[in-house]
Amino acid sequence: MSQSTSCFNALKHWLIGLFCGGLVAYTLATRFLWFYQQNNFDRLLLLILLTFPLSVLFSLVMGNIRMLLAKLSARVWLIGAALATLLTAVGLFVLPYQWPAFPAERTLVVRPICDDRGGEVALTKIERLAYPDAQPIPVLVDEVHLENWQVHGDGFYVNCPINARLSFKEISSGGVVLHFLQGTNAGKVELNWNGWLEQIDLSGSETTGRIVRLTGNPAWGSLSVTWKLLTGLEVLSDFFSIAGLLFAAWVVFLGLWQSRSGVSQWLKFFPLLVSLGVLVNLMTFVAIEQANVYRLRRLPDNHLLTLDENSYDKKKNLPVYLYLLSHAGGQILRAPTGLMADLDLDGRMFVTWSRLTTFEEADYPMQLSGKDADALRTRPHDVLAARSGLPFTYHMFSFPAGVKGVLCMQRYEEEIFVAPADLLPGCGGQP
Amino acid sequence: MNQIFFFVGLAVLGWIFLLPLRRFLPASFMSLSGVLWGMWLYVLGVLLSLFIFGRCTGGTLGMLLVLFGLVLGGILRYTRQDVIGVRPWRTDLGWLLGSQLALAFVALAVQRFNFSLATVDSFGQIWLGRSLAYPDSAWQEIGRLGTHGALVPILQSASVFLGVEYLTALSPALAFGLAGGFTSLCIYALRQHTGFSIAMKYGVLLAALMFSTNFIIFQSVYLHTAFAGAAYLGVAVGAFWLGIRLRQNAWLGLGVAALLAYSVTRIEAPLFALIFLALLLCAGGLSYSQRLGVALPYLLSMTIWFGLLSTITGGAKFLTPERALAMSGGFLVCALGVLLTRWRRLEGWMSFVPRWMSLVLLCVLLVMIVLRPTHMIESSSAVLINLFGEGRWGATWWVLLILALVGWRRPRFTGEALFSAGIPSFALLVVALAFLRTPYHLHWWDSANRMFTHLLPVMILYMALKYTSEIGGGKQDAS
Repeated sequence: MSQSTSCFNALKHWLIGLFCGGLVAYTLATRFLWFYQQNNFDRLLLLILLTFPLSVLFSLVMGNIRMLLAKLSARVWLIGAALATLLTAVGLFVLPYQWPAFPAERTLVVRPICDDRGGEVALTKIERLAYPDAQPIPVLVDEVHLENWQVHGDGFYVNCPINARLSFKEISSGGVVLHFLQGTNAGKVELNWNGWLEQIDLSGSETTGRIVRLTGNPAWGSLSVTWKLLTGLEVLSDFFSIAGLLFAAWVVFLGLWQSRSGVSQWLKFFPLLVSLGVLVNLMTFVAIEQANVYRLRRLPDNHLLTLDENSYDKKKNLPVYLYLLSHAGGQILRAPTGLMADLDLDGRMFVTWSRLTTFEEADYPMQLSGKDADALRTRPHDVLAARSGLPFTYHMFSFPAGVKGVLCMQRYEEEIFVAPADLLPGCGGQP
Repeated sequence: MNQIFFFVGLAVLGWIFLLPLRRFLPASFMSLSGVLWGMWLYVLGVLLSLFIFGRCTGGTLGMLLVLFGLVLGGILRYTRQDVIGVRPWRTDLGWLLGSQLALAFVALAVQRFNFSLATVDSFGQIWLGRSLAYPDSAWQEIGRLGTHGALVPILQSASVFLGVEYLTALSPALAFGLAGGFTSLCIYALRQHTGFSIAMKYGVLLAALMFSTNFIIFQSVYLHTAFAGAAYLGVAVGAFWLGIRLRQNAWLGLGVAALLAYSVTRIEAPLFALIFLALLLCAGGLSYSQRLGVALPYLLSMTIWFGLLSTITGGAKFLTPERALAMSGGFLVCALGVLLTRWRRLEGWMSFVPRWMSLVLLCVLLVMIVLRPTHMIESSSAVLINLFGEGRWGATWWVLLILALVGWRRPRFTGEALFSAGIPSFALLVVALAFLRTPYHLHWWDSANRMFTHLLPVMILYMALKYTSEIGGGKQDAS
């Protein structure tokens, strides 16, 4: 064989490896590494970093595949190729194939529908999805544009003023999740999601939550030529990657089945395959973090309350137990009968976690008057404001240092007062 | 600073615990895994304090520590030929000093840079742990050991003695034990097949695969039980394999100790532990006395443990008193079964266990699918999607699957049944357990997804042994 022919064959060999590596790299990058969400430089870097080792791997593997193919009859490997193509086609087009979620500008507009019934609309939370199946991540209040809506905590409220409009716009591959409150006072709302309109009636006999999930890609026709090329290429690379892997698996298994001695040559690919796995893991690390609400972040201190505040999945009323642990150890806590159930508090935890001496339920009025509540608020105390995981606002009054006694609880609307017994009239004292 | 002293102290205690076996264990493993053994000893101490003295205080733990010292001293006197003269002490002390400095650095760093993560379960475990440290509340809350498992909550109880709100360094210390202890065990195991340089290369590479996985890094700061399970099960199975390969009872005993620790990380853990124990007994080529020596301590301990739980778990979510009693009875029956293996015919049937275990579990799973098709298919799908996509595993299980498929036809190595039957049986049992509970679901926090953390070190060790079994150049001493 002449030198030029062998050079040509070697070049052909590596080019085929590069082509296969590039296709699989594109599939990995778009499916696992949020390729579309990166900027152009990062996209290029990602492709180069993935294509290079994959191309080397394919070029090395191809020699072995050729040797195995040479041992099989043409009919056998044609059957394999046909099966791989058929299985891939079925998988992609019959089973629910997740079409690539490409980033585009997505707009949400929420308007109350003010009819004769009127009614308020309570949108308690908006969450974004990095991609359609991602874990929802809360949208901050500052990211939402409001006209005549009110903000309360993490949510938004309106009661049919003129021209009330809430809008949220971003470039993403996913969608949004809206948390509404249904109830007797609730009205209707119109949602405009990327130009698609829907009306939702939030009225109901009892107050419950209602979740509306808005996903979906913009229409194919609205995409630019670049995005059409990119998403088309993804479908193509998915097809060739899956079919190619299935075919290679078919050849390898048949080859290994026929010859045990051929196994040892795969040993050299063990460190290569594991190294590739490490590389992919490192490259997916940040992307996985960004797509999850639960992600590694440094806490400002080592307190349990801080741990709870930074948890997405909060233990209900934990701040109350922890406050009492650090400020009221050794005290007795008394609550009116039935209040624990209303507040979803566990009296046992006051002893076992908050380290109070005793918790007892007593027969005294649950409700505080407005005048008494106003008087109490003027005294120095700590406030645990209502938030996620803490449904009510707690006003916490302490004994002077070194003094032990009885702490009582009483309620005024959505506020709970925990104070020494002599400060709460119902429990035996004057504020 | 208290946490630093606590974990370094546990690690030194664990190292001392391993001293009677110094002849059989590499110095690196003794030092790097010391924190795992120390933690286990602390958990045992708290349990003994509670059930013997009715309370757990510094005084009761101190008394048990003195008792431990006396017993260990007696053992060391009896086994001094296995301790002294094995290798230069500077080797062991060098490893001990280096590993404790590294552990101290980790404990210091995580207190300064606290990345702890918690869910509702985490707070439940912290609450339970802290309750156990106070005499007046311990017996009010002890029944919740039937819900949360015992190991991690009991370790968290140390926060009360250390004057902190929770142990920020617990999960990172477990990560240290897994990274250091399991990797050194892995390398030592590989050295039975091949030379030092290849064993090091493969061991470090596989450790890199494990610790480049997002979910592993995540769990090294996540306050939960899966990491502890992974560490102890990995060490247990590795120790069992070394016991079979080297025909050393020391490794078998160590494996049983690790398996006991694993069995108290989660309520379901003993079921998975039984898989590997059964395979060890049936395929490990053990003599009758070895079978008794390995199985009876484990099975009788579990009988007593679940018997105790049946008396205290009133109100527990999963492990009701009736279920605990049934488990206790089950382990007792297993212990009687082991005694009966002296009967030759039964001994003959045991050889079928490795071959049929996975198949039987598969058939059971298929029956479950027929009985609850939607529930079981939903659960099975969720497990697969999580492992290969949504569960934060990255490419790790893909790599392991490819390695397993490609290496399937390679020649078998001594004791391979522990892995080749154990791993699929573990996976099938995880899926089968869905029959008894709400279906598994997508995303990382799914229970099954977290349980596969336990299997990861075992799978990694298996792949390493499978691909090095023909290289040759291995050695069999402990230096």
